[in-house]
Amino acid sequence: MKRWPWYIAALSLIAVLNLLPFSGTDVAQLKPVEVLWIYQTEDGVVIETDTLDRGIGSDPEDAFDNLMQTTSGHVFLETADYLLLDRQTLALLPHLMGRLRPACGVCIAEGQIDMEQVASFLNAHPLKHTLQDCSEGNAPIQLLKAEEGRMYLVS
Amino acid sequence: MEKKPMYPGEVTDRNIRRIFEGAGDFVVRSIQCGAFTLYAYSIDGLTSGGDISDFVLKPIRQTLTGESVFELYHSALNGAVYNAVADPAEDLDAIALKLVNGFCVVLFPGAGAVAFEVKTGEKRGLSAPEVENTVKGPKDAFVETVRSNTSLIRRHLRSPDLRLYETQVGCRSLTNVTVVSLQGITNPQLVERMKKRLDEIDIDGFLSPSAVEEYVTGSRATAFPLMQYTERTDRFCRGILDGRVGLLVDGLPLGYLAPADMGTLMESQEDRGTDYISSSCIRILRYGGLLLSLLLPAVFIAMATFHQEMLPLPMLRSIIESKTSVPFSTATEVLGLLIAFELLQESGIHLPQSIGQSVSIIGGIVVGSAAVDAAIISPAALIAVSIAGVCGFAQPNRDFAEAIRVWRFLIAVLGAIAGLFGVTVGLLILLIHLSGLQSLGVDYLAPFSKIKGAGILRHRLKDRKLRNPELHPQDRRNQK
Repeated sequence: MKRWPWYIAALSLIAVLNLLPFSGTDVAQLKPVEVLWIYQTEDGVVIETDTLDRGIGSDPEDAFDNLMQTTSGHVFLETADYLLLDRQTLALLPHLMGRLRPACGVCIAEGQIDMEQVASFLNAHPLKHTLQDCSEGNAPIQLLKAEEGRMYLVS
Repeated sequence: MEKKPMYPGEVTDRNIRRIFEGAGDFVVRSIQCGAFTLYAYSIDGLTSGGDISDFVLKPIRQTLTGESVFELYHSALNGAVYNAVADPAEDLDAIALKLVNGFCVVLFPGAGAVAFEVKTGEKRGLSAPEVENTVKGPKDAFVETVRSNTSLIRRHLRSPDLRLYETQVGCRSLTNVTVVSLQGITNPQLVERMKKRLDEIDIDGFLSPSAVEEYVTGSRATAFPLMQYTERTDRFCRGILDGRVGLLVDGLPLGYLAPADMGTLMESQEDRGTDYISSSCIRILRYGGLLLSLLLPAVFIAMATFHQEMLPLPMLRSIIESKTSVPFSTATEVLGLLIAFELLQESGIHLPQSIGQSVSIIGGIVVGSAAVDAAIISPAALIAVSIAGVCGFAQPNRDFAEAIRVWRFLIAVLGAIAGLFGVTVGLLILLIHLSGLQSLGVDYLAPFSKIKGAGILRHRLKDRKLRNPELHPQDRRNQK
């Protein structure tokens, strides 16, 4: 029993010196993302979130890095429930499997999507297929159209 | 090894006076009985002056006759002095012990001494239990006088097989201790083990509950209680009937029961007061409360710091929102709140009941909500710690709940260091620790060793035909 104080002191020292193999991010620093929109422009791949953060890069990795670096706080992608793509970025689906939850719903977005409103729209109109289904290539991807300030889903 | 006498020497008036030299309440009275001078000793306050006059001095003067002091001594012992108890006190130790226990000792110089019982009736009356209240059930609780407690036990348990082994512990306090068992049911080895432990105790005073618990259980390095205490006589008797050994200590309004395992410590007296379905449901709730009390702060820290993806998005959002202006990390916040909660509880205990309640209200509601409004702490952390605290109060045994509080803090620290991995490590350490504990040779986790739910659910009384086999009772069957 007399060794316990030494163990505790050693553990405290390691924790204080930040040498523990565990590193967490406090919940207060997180920016949880619910909807992620990835589309291709002439400048490269653009990622927009429902928290109104934006990242741009020559490829998806660059865009994600840019998103992380330019956002105040820690963009938290594990909570993403919906992934919007355009027809050019559909090919990124298998690559995104490692980044987002497989249960995340997927659709193709057309038009000018209002990122502030899209989450509540999709919560009311759930998507049929998930990232897992779509990346395996055996599910037809739904289309989300935005016209004149209105959104609707096309199967 | 024979014990060394505390007061060596001959039984003489001088030596007896020397023992109590300087004691203001020590009373000596010389009595002329025929041609002989006898001496009566007593301690004022412990004895009743009226009873000494009526049942010692008066009969000695009026009925005691004899040709020699030996004759007087023997006729006093054999009923000439009409007192219910007349014990020979053969040495100075026995005389001292009798005097401090409310006897009047009469010295027959050269022949010996006789102790007559003339205890004063001054003692606290019986009252209802203050801590272990029940809606149904008897309302008599133990008091500080061991003899009153044994009489209460006799009233609940009228079996002639009830055995009360009395001894003194504490070389200065000479505390009367009684080991209670039921012949034909209690495992004699348990009784012997308890007696042996009491005999081995060598301390000045055996006055505080912690002294009793530490010395009797062997002072294991654990926060968990290895003896069960109760202020309820019916609960104590139930334990004796189950085949456990009881311990009563003069001066403590409690009865101790051993062995104690986790199952018995999680039982409430109310369980026996209601039907088995309701009490089983309540017990499940209590065990759920135990887990929440132990784990909720740690799991909250772990999830808020390491595993945010496990939280549903709306909940995560509301936690983040509540924490936007809070200057502390979740771990600091929760650990700080746990400490504040303990301090609040501690201050409530040390204050008089009326002020203690006010402090709890001020501390819990006013300071808590003010701290949330001032964005010093987040409501989510406050809720997690409060739920854990409330669940801790749902535990029927206070000592057990306090041990859980200690471990709650340790597991919360581990959760802050390594997330759910740390929480799991903490739980495993706790499980290993509990598995290693024994109370009078019975494993602490014994009720959970068989997959029958026996330790959690309260079975129908008519289905409980056998006593707990872990206690090795002499008679296992308690009904046909």
